[in-house]
Amino acid sequence: MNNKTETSKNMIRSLVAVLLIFIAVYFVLRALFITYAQYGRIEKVLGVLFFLSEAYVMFHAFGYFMGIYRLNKKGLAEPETTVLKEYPHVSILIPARHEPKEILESTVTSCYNLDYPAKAIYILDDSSEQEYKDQARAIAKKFNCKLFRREERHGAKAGVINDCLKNIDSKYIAIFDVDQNPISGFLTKTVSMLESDSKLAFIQTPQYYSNLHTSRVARAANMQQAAFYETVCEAKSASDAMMCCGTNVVLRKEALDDVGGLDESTVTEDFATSLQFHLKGWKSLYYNHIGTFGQGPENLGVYLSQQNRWANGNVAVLKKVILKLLKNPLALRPVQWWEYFITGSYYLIGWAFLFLMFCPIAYIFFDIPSFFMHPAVYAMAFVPYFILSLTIFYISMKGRNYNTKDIFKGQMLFLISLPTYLAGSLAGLLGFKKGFKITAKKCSQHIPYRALWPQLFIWGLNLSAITWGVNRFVYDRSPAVLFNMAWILYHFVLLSSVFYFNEEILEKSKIRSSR
Amino acid sequence: MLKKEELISSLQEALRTEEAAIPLYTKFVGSTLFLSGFSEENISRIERILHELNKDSCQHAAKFERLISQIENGDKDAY
Repeated sequence: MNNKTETSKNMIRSLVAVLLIFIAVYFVLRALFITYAQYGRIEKVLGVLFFLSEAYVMFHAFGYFMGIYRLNKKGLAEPETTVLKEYPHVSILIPARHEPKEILESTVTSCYNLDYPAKAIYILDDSSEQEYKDQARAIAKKFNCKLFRREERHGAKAGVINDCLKNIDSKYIAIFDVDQNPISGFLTKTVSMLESDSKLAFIQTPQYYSNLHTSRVARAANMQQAAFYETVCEAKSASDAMMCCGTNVVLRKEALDDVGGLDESTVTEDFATSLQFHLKGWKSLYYNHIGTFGQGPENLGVYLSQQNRWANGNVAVLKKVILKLLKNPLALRPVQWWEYFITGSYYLIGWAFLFLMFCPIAYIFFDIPSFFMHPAVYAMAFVPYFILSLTIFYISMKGRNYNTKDIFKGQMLFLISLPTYLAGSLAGLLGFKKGFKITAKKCSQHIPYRALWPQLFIWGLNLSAITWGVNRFVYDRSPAVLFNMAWILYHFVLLSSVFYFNEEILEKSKIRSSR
Repeated sequence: MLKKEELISSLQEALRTEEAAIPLYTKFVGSTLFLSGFSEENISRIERILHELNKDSCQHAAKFERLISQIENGDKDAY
């Protein structure tokens, strides 16, 4: 490791350590102010909810930055590999349902061209419409690969994989979503890692969207994926807590048999099955090299339905994690429980942000305080944390060649996803298993704004609050009004991106209609 | 000497491998250039090369398809 890299790692570790101190100081001060605040009941209830929301966001920030700290402390060792003298058989599964022909054919082409000699490709076609069935059959014939169909559908993707696995005897199973295309060396590398450690249940590799230049949504979604796959996954892998992500993954058949196949009880079967693996003592590994190129969601509708499914599934698995922890806390190591809890609870962050956005608006409109801290103390305690956390985040992502504009777009997309997180997580908490909705690969489509009413409602509320707040500031030039207005403006700017991500489609429509 | 079926099979294999895969791989590589840290000039140069490679592969694929059709429809059985 050269000196420059070592200096950079030391700097990041120092910044994270300072940040963690800022978080601790801020919380102690907030707790003190809330405890001794002389406000009415409604204000106190709102204040506690606001504090808990902040605590929740900072809890997740703490988890993220601790991961960065651990990675910069000991680094991520290159996985052990074995030079393959023999090639264990790999069955490649491509689950598909009503997929456009060109998408399916690209994936089969990529799998066909994997430079691994002992493989069999299975198209798991769950289509019910004849046109798609015929296309899948034609592709299977063209590439001489196997076509698997079943009589009764159950369990969506997990179900079709489990049904297919009953007929498979391979040592390893590779799974690719229908829009994920592996490059030729994918299997040689991943299998060599699996061969070097017989306790490894799976090797997970990142997702990367290759349609970044054709869709604003895909580009911003890729940025969100990058934050997850670059830092979060590396940290999880270093703690042997990496979760399966359902695609671009190679699993050991023995491990799958040991846990009874993929878990069909939630819509995030990959995450749920990972828990089963770890509970049974299997290990997991994340190999942070892009070996597969995929298609990101091309419009807001597709993206938000994907996020809804993930929110639903992750929270459903969180319930399982908590139950298992209470029943047998020694089943996993503390850091593994921590990583599962962090991931399972992530989408509940929508609830936290609901209060974080609502409370400043309540102050501006109704003069209901929820933040019992002198503005000067707030400025000294919170602002450094906020600036430092953003700085570390941007430095760590820029260190991996992502640019500032794209990182910011990822943040914008996150904020407009919050209503979706709310809905999805609520469904997950209540046990409503949302049906698996396939991500469409059609050309970008304009989403009617009525479908985005939650985002527009919050945006409109923020706009009204800004208008009222400007009016109020003329007569009440207090720092409290200023700070609340700053937050409302920040949320408003980020929420306005709903037009940026949706209007791209309208521009294309105008060009077509003007010809 | 190759029988007709063997030759057609080889040509179809070439279509499935090189000619189908190269356009995919060039698309993949092209989508990563913005992360490469290369200068704008080098990125443009690489994109031009990839475009040419892609075009050549598409032309090869068309030629292979015409050749397969010619051989299938021809009377000759040994090559």
